[in-house]
Amino acid sequence: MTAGLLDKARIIAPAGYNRWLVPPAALGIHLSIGQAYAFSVFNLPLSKAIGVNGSATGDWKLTELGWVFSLAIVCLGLSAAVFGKWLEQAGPRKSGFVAACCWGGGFLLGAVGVRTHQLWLLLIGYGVLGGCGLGLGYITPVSTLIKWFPDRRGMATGMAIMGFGGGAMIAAPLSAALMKVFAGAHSVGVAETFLALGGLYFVAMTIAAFSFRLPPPGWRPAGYTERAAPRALVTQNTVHVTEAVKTPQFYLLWVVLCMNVTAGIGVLGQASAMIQEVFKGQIDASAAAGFVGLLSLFNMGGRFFWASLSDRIGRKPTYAVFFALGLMLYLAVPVTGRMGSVILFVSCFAIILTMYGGGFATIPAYLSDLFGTQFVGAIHGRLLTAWSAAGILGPVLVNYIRDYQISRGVPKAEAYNITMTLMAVLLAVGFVANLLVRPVRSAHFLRDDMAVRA
Amino acid sequence: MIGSRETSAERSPWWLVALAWMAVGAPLLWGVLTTVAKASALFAR
Repeated sequence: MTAGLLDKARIIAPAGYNRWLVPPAALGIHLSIGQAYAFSVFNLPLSKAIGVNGSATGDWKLTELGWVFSLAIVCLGLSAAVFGKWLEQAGPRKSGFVAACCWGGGFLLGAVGVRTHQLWLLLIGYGVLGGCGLGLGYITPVSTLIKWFPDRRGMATGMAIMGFGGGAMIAAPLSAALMKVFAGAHSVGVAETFLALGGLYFVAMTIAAFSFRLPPPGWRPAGYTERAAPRALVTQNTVHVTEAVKTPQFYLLWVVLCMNVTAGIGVLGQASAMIQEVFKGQIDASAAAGFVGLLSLFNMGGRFFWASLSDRIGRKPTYAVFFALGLMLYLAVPVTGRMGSVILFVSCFAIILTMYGGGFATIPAYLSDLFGTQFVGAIHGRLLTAWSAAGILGPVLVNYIRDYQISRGVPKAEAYNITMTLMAVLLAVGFVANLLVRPVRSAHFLRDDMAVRA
Repeated sequence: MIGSRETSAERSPWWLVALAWMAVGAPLLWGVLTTVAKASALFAR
């Protein structure tokens, strides 16, 4: 029987295939789905979709629109967890194409929701369908890259996941430009922009999905030999996804990711308000927007830098650095505020954000070290529920504590001090969890006679 | 050529690899430069 166009069997690389063709395909997918981080550019125009020049009766409130992004992130984690196992069976071309359909289709349905002014349709379209595209698209390239780059797992996945950070940098100015083109007397131009972006991302992701190739079984890069004395945490064995979730290592890494992301995500959402309140009179809204832009650059750069560095120093020491250095920096932030030093304040957050991004980018390589490369996509998918949890925990902690302190009469400029201490505590929890990670017991390894059933 | 160290025996044409990297690199570079321009507002006080 011949393999279908999307089948895994169809994409085994021929002899002579250059593995450096795979990272651009992975980047193509991540740059597309990274748009999610730029969704906030639509919030204000969507809040005056009826009134066009200003909010009118029946227009959506910003609090209602906030649910669209939150739902997309929750669906990202859930779909990655649910479909991760299917991805390993289906292969990256099929799952990448399904991700393209969901992401492009999500924009299409969202555009209909905006045009007909039905919030539920926007939530189902961008939030649920698009969120599934995010989840599938996020995990699709990871296991393929790890199989092509057994010698530089961190660098390879870091490159792809860097794209998720970079996608917003493309989408934000592009969306603003498109809305300007499509806006008119009767439209804010969001529905048309959704259609254009949906079409663009569908094409880009489909091309990327069709570019994926899998290495033939047993393939190794020329000149690559396994280390004679592999690092203690690096296994040459395979742990099945259903077995991996029974190990303490999986839950320790879940805590590691959740703590690292919670600490970073809470700050990201409040960065603009925070710097303006701490340096009142010194930093205006435009400079604060510059601060947010700078943080996104460091977030993106950190993904590649730290993940690549982890290939050299190991995953566990890399996370130990994230937590120890992050803890010190969070404690230093209130001091820099009191000193009135914008440069030191910005530097602290810039380094913190590199480690936030680095945490995302290094985790797939950590998982493949512990559980082997065969089911890493599926295991990574399940671990991403930590991101969903952090997506709720981080902003809630930062906002709630800030509001509580202000209600108790604490000046706005000092309202973030306790938050920073709490973030440092979260990082201390992550540090301990990382410290407790030990090699997986051999009882969890897939035996040869079980491989067929897997 | 990118990755020539470990792909010396491989036959994918170099221009295809370069084209693939340019296709994703160009929009990314545009996004980075736009963000750098925005971030410069922080230091233009």
